[in-house]
Amino acid sequence: MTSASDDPDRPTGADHDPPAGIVHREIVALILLSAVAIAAFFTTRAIARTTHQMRLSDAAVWYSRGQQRARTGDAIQAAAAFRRASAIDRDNADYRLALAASLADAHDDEAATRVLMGLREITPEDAEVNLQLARLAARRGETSLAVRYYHSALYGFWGADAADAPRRVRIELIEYLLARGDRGRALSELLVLLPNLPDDAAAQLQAGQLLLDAGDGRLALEHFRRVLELDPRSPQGRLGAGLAAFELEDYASSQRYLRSAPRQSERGREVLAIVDAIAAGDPLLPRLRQSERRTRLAAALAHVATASDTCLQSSTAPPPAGNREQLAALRTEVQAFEERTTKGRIDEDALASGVNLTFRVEQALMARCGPGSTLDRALVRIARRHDLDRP
Amino acid sequence: MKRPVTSVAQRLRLRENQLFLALTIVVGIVAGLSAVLFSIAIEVTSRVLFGLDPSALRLFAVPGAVSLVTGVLLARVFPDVRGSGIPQTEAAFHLHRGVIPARVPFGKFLTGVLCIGSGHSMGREGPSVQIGAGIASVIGQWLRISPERTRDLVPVGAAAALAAAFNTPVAAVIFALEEIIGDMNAALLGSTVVASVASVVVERSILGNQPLFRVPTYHLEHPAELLAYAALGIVGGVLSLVFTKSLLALRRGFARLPARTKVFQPAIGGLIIGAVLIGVPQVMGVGYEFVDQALNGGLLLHTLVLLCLVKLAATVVSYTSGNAGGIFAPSLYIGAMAGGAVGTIVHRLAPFPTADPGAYALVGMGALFAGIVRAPMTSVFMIFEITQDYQILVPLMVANLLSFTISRRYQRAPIYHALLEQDDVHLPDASGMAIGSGWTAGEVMHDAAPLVAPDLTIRSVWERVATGPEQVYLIGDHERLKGLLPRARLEAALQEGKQDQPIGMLLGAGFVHAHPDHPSHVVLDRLAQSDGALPIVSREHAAAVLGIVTADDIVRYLAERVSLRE
Repeated sequence: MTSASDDPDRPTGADHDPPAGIVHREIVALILLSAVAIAAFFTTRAIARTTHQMRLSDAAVWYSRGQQRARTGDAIQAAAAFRRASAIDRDNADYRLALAASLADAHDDEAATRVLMGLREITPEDAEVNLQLARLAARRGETSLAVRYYHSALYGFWGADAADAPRRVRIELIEYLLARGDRGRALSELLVLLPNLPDDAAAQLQAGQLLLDAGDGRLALEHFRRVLELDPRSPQGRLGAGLAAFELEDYASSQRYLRSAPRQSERGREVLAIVDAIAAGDPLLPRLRQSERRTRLAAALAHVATASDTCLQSSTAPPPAGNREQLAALRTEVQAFEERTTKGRIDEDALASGVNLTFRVEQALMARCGPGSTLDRALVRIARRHDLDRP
Repeated sequence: MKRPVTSVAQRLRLRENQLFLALTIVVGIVAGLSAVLFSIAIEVTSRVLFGLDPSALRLFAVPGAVSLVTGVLLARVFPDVRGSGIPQTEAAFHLHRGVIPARVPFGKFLTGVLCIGSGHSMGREGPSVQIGAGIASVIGQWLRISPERTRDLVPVGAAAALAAAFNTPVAAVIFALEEIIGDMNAALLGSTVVASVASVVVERSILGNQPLFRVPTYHLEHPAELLAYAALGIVGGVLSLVFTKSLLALRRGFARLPARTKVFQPAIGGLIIGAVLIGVPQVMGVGYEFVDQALNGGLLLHTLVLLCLVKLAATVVSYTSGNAGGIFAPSLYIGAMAGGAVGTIVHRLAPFPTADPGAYALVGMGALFAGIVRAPMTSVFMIFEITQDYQILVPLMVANLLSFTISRRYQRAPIYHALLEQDDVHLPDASGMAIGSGWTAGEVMHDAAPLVAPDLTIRSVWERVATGPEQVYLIGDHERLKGLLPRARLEAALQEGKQDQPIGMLLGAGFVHAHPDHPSHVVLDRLAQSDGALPIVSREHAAAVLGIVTADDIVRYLAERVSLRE
């Protein structure tokens, strides 16, 4: 690096000046200049601080306006106000998060993602930023990315006042996975969640419902039973236990729980009807008289025969279309079975054959004419319960 | 007893080299403080004048009303602080031995704050440079250091102020060398670096170590993306030309208005800007807030295009109407918007992976700066300092090169030089500087004959010059040269019977000239293009004739040199 001060050929006027007193004029001038510079520095710093405060105050006003507009549902205006706030006070992550949320509310996902990515570059471990990114990715249907952001949020930094937040985020992730039909990954997340659950009825109930949706009836039933221990009169606990028992094919327990539930959902009523139909129509239940078994089987065969006739007669079968010939053959088989078993004693093999036949007809009906009635579903479950659901 | 006292006194004396080094640091600090204060003052003024959320009436009224005040200040009190300040600083360095009157930094601060704070679409960097350079010059004059050192302080102060204004110390040093001094190998490199560092340290200790823009890390996503950046360079070059040419043309138009309107010209600009702000308030003032949004991909395509075009027009109006403010920031703003728009289109349509539009906005900034200011090295270093990312440099250089080349191809002089030329100030350029041995125009020229007024008739002029030896006559009035008239053209006009017509009608559109410091090769080249005589004009006032060079003068001068040697 060369500098003018290194150049020996440059004129050096001060060297030729006569000495002026003990201390040279330039030194006095420099000291004076330095004193002025120091004073100017502190003055400027004080002014800068005042201006900074003014700026922060302006940003807070814009943020407050944005919140007001967000509350009235005007996401676009809210985003504009939050944008002003975050432009003035660029260090405030809350403003930028609010901006991203408003942009997302205004369905400007691309802009919201950019704001969040900007924040994530600064604080990659910020849980709230990752959570919002996860929600945006989820909304776009990018499951892998969403799960990655959800996990970043779960293992990110949450403030001391948000101890419950990771559990809520994991539940949100599980619900998202269940909505996407990914029950396996949802169950894995549930297994991580369960040890950290508080032992209160609400948390146990939520876990039970999620387990039920994820297809783990046994664990779900355990949690619903815990709910009923903590709150024996919980209608949701009874409903959940009834549904879980139903999934486990414990129809007696299911019936007991569901009948004791005072307020029932549509699903609860539907399941109770199936359970009732199973209890009333299963010919293979123990401790039934022979005549009762015959009557139940005959009723089941009569139902599938009628249903087959109706299905075969419908000119436009709804999708999925099944094999008409197969259903017709089964209908003939039902008729032959009825004729064969009308007279005389029915042994256990004949009962099993009859139950299996109803199952096969139900399968064919399902394939050709779609889901059937409560009784149809009960007949399928009866066959399955006795391991007679072979084709 | 006396000896020890003298010895202490001698030791306390500073050699000028040491003094200059100490001054460099002090100038760096003071210029940095001035840039910080200038920036704060603009912000506070804008906040006071417009409030937090201005009404349409306020947006319209403020620029015009404030410009009425600044119009008086700029026309009557501080006539040398109009516009950017960078051309004036260059003129001070090259032509006035670095002498800048004390009223200039003060006036620039005051009028710059009022003009930019009242919403004019102008930048703060140019004024900061003039203020910094002015303070440095005033300090140098006050300390009575040698004229050469006073001159050297000008780019030092300019670099320090720019470093603080833009928070890019390296780019500020390069800018001082590339633009102010015009020589990348200048011996002042060390001094400008010291001052820039001192300035940035001061600026960061007051405002914090915050970059001017927060830019995500961008990468070249695919080699084919370079084509997209090349397209951006072409767009940047075209926009640079549109900006430069429209600015120069409109400024020329304002300059042709009667002198008495000069007071009101800024207010005319203010009224136009007020009307623009009602519809597009985003172009108000410096506008870095929106540049930041473009760099982070936060603006939609139609917004980017709109802001690019409106900012361009608004800056041209604000600048040419005579307000005080720079074009440094507007060129970055326009570039960011243009780049963002190109990037958005490329991002949507390109069949290969591309970076976010923000990356293009960043490169666009550099491309427009390179095209308008024509300081390509500054542009590259500035963007590098903003991003701290090497990855963007290759696309940036591609776009810069194209923009710079297109701009240079269709606009001869860089904008700051062209602005000075409009004011009849001609700066020396690298190719025209006197170098080594040989002679200069000033050495060979002879005194010029008095100017012939252009409204005299051809007959009356002929009667005066017919018997003289001159083969070329200088036409002009009020000490302003209008053109050259060869004797042969005068005789031809007489033969065609145009005796009673004014002689001014015989003048062509322009004339070749040289300056006293031009070396022999430039003089010979221009003499060959002339009508036998080359007027030598002042760099400070290009219409003021200092002398004439003819082939005879050169022969006579060389003969004298030969005889002297013998």
